[in-house]
Amino acid sequence: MKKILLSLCMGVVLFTSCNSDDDEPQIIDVPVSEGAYVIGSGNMSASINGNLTYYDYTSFTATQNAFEKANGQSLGLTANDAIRYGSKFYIVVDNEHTVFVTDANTLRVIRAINTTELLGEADGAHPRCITAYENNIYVSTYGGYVAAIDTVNFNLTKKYKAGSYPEGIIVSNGYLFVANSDYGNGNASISQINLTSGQDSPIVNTNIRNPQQLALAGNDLYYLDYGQYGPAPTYAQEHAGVYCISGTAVNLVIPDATGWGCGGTKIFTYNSPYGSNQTTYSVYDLSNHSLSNFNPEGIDSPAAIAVDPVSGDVFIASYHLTTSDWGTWADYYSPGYVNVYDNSVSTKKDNFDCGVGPTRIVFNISTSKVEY
Amino acid sequence: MKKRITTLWICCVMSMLCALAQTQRRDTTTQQNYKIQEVVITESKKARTVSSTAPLHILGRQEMLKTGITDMADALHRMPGINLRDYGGAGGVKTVSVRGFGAKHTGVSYDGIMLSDSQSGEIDLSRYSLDNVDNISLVVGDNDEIFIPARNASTPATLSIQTIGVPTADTAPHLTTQLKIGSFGYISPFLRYEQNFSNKFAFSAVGEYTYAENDYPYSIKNITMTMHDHRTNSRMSSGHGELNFVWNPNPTNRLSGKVYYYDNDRQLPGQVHYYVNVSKETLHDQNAFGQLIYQTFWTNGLSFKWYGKYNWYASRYRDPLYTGGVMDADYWQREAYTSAALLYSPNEHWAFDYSADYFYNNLNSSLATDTRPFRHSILQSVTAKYRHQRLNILARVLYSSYLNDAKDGDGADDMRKLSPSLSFSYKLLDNQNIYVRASYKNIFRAPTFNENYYFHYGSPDLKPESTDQYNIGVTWRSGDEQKTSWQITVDGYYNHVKDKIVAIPYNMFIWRCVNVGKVRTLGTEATAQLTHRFNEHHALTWMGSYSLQDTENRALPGSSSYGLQLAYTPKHTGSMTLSYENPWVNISLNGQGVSSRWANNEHYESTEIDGYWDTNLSAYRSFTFGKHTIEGRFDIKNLFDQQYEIVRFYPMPGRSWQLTINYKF
Repeated sequence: MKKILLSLCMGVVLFTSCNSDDDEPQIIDVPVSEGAYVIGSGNMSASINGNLTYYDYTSFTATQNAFEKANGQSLGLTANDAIRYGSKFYIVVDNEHTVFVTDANTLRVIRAINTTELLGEADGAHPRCITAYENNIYVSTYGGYVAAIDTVNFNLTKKYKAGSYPEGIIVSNGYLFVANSDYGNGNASISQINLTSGQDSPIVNTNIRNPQQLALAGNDLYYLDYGQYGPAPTYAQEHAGVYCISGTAVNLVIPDATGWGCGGTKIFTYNSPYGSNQTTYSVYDLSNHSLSNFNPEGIDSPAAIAVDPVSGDVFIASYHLTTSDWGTWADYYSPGYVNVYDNSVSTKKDNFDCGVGPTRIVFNISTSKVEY
Repeated sequence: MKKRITTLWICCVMSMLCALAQTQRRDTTTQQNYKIQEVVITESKKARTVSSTAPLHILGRQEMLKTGITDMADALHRMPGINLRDYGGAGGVKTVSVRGFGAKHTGVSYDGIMLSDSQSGEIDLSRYSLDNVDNISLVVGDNDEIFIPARNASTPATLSIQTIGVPTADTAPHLTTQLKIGSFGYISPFLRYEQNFSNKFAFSAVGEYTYAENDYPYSIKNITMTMHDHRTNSRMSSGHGELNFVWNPNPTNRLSGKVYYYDNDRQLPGQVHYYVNVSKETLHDQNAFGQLIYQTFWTNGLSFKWYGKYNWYASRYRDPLYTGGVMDADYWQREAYTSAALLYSPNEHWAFDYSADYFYNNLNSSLATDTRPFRHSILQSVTAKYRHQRLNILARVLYSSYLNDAKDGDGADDMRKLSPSLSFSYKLLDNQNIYVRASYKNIFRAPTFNENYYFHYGSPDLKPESTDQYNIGVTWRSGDEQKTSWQITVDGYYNHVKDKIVAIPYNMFIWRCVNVGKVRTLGTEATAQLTHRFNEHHALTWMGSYSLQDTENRALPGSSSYGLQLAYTPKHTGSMTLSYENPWVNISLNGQGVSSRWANNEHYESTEIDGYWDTNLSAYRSFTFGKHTIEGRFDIKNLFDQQYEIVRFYPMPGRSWQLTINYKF
């Protein structure tokens, strides 16, 4: 039924477009952002399960443990990534080797996909990141693979071999890009896999050390790289930042970054390096290649950052701090919080509590028909 | 598996038959003599628990049988103040902490010499089975046994495992064969041979093998749901062998020695998951050591003991679910140890001991970040004991030096420290065994190699973690000759840990160890035992222990964990045993339990672990035909099929059984 409605609407859009010269009202698809999902990894070493917080834009209230409340069951250990696609919301849980498929609005579980069953134990272990493209979701695993899974019957559409310890993935123009972190051991690469043939032509470069996240802007591929740690006793962080692959050139565009959020033409980053409580924040504007710093009010220790693609609002999740004579550090065992800012991060609009270990913020985007 | 059991059965029966054939003509009276001696020794030890200046708990072999103790974990649960961390099943790692000190503060000695793990600082007690154990004892603080190596007094609490000694009288060979089978694919044959070749030289050999599938079913609560599954990747295959000798060239000289080897190849089932049951981790432990103890007495009140030991330990960890072996690691540890102790007792009131220990530890691994750390340790102690009529006083100072270095890197800070202890007991009445006791002990632990050196975790500039403990107690014991005999001990204590080593994060991936923690424990514990002998064949014994432990985290005022009970430390711990000895089948009903605990210091919502009470039923009977004794024993563990966890996400087995057949002559 939904499908028919959709094509009907599309017909209307086409029809009205043809008569755009007329004064008759036009109906177009407009993305609408209804809320934000905050995925918390929990903390495996303290036996704390992963969690989901939903922040509703109509009431501006947050529901903590939203997954547990909707399903009477827990996400399990180490929730790592999520995506809203179609009418569904998908959650990747690393240590359960599971991708939960839920209804985007009720959050009721429709299916739990075990990646170890889907791909085999070695290849499917530890699912990490998720993206979606043409009625498939794509899930990377530490086993070194990416699974394309049909969003209707949840069968495996295709299994792609990637590099070592894949993290972030992105699909565009018939190509699957995979950030192969190599678990920070130095043999990193970014896979460039032809979706039809499964052929990988990986990008290897001295500037690709420990890539974690990917974003595409036109033909430019941006990636967040954790870099590496220097020798003892300082273990100083080296080469972490955002890099851009443009043609064969790989350039550092935002030095010193350990987390990012992309939206519109901007990449927002934070840097909380080892051995320092000095967190810095940078924003890079792709439209004019400008890099500037910003200072979000009320963030103790950033854990995730994201930009609502509709409103442009910037969400920053943070840990609370533990303070002592020995200094101050992030409390990885207690629930964190999220601050909401405008696009320039100059005004704090709202603030809500989330769960332990916030790790990813995803927006509840649907399309709405607007007549004008 | 079935085939394996059958083969083992055949082997066992065969060995029994051979043994029977060999020893038809053997003297029965000596056997009786041993029995009596054993009982006397155990009894006098038991009496020591009330006169001891510091809390002392002893479980002898006979008592373990009588009270239905099935394994090491079970025995440890019966001792008050002990908090056992158990990852479940036969293959699960088991470590003990005492009275709110961490497991790294619990010393474990095996036949008089301390065991060590310089890497983690914790001894996995699942390695030691009870089959060859004569008694285990726990001393909290320093008690009146003073003729010991300095290192044996270097921990707040020491658990001593004493294996079965060699016989002292006849020269015939003695053989013990035993087969244990149980639920979840458990089978364990045991063989012990001992003989006095002359009245000067005795020898024993022990071999033991354990195989277990550990594939027990469990259920785990998931918010409103209950998930049912069974443990997988949980198999273990372990063996242990020992050769022992005692040589008494003359009545004043004694040399004893041991060669020991242990091998455990096990799968690790890991934390249970709600939605998958996938685990591939394995751990292979190998431990070999040799030790010698020489003892001599002179007529002028001087005695001398010398100890020597060389220990080698390898562990091999694999996790194939992480491709490229990024989690895999091999570790090798070595220790060379020697100790000399001189005891001088000029008269019946005074005794003085000077002990000096030296040991060398090193560690290397397959990790690229390994710096090959090593440590020289020199420990010296001077102890004085005074005993006059109803008073026992013990005072000790221990001077410790730990000198650290690393072959391929910077060494950790050296440390030198003086640690005093003082304790006394006083018999209140002349005609009653009522004692009051009080003790104080200050001691510390040096950081482990992990805490000092582990990449992105260790800090070389750590201070030692120091502890103070105060104990006062009352003990009361009736005479043994009475029809109804009993014993009660009640102790109250205050413990304090300073400069506790805690890992704090700089970010999610890099943690550093710092001396930031403080812990304060207030506790009380009580034990009681009541035996009523109806006649020479029937006796009823009731035993109970209870411990209340308030262990507060006092680190970081203002933080979310300040003032809260430490993780995995129950407030209430208890055990109870009822045993009935009779001519038909001896029966023991026993149980142990703890109140709820938290899985983390922060008491994060939904991480509280429920308390439990685990009940066991045990029945045994021995048959004696001349010199031959056959003993059959049947145990039902977790009688009421309670599903509980000691460590979160590591469910313990439900109801299970174990059958033991033992034959000896």
